Amino acid sequence: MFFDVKYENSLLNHHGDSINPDFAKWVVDFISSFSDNFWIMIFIVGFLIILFLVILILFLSRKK
Amino acid sequence: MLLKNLSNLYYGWLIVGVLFLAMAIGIGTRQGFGIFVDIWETEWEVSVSSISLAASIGWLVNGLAAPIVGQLSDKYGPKIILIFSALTISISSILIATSFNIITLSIYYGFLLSFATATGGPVGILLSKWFAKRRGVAMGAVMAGGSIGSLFFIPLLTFISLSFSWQLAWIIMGLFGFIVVVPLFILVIKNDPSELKNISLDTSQELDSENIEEGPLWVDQWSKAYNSKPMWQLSIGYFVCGITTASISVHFIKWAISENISPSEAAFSFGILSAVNGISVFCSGYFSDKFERRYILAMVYFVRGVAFLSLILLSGQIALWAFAIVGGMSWLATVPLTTALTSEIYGNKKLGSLVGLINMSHQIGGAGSVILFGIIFDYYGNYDLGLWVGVIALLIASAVSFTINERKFSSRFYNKTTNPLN
Repeated sequence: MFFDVKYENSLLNHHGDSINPDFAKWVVDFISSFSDNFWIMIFIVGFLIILFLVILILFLSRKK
Repeated sequence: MLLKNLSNLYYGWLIVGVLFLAMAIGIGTRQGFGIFVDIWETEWEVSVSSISLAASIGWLVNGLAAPIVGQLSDKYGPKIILIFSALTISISSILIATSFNIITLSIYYGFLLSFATATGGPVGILLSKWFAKRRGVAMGAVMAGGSIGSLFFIPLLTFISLSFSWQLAWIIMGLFGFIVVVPLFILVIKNDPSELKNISLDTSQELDSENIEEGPLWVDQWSKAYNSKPMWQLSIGYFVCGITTASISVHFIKWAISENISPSEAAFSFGILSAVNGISVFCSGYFSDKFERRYILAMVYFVRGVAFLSLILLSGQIALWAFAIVGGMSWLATVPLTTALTSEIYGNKKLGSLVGLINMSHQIGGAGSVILFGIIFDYYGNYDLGLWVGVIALLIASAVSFTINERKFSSRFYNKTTNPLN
């Protein structure tokens, strides 16, 4: 009962600025279903891609 | 060989790359808010609705800030405004980590961060000045950064808050802004191609140097734009865009529950919608450079209308997945098309203000629809009437967009159709 009331509030008051709290719950469950090492690997790859893009952009913009 | 080819790359694409990264980090940060709702609820012992107040304030502030940020960009140039925005986003992200109640959260997230993320105007000006021939694809690529960024940064924020603390998650996002976005804005962004030391031949590949861009409706005061039909047509379309995206963002899960679908499956389908959207926003920009943008814009609204109709005519999981795929094809695709059309019809001089004002109509439509859908559900116990409102509004938006006289008013066609030399 308590959960129902709380759930109603979140839906009626939460505007579409950020992701839906229920989607957030699904994301939390999804993240928890894989090992920490797996996610650390994914994020390191992501950081390396961002770092590569930053260096490439700075390198290509240096003469212009 | 590859490096040589890359060093000949048109400078505008470097600006697209910088804005892509900035969008990925900025939108990732802003959309990550939902992740922390449960944590704050427990830690601060507050209700979800009071946390949502900070998000609601942010939504409103973002809409009202858009014309102000746009006007400042028209006056001082987009570069300085973007640097200032990136600095404010970074500082406010770190400040959010120091929040200890709803009031501090509302100040840091609702006011500071949301104000600084209203950057549609400066981004529109920048891309319009750097791109003429492939303006649609450049704007689409930047918007796709937001979708792709969310796919990386939302799991990152979740992982950090689960494994370490929610404060560290916000600090890391703030540091991303300081270390990656601010230096890139300072070093790479240039307001105009004329700021380049070496204006190479490749500039003419993008900016049609033989035809100086001009249009019959180009304005030097934003208020003059409202005396012409296209401004109203674009605003009506964006108003409907706001109605249909905000209502779904807030009420989609509740609709799914009313159809006996589990919240987790509905949430997953909404994630798929975002992923499809990342591809479609890029494609819509690409095709709008090949054809008249109004056709693509009208089609985008029509496709979203079909997605809404599928929620009414189909039932259960078929409706859910039909909506996720078809709706995803149109979700953010209106942004590059509307911005490009505004710049080509009204020029760049007051583009920031105009894009900001059109964005504001989007937010007003969104705010109204969220309340309307809630009232409809409370009264009828289902969303059918609200969805029908969405379908009819989208059909109107499609028709209105289709009737924009692009050949007469857009700088893409103006020179070519009226100048006998062309």
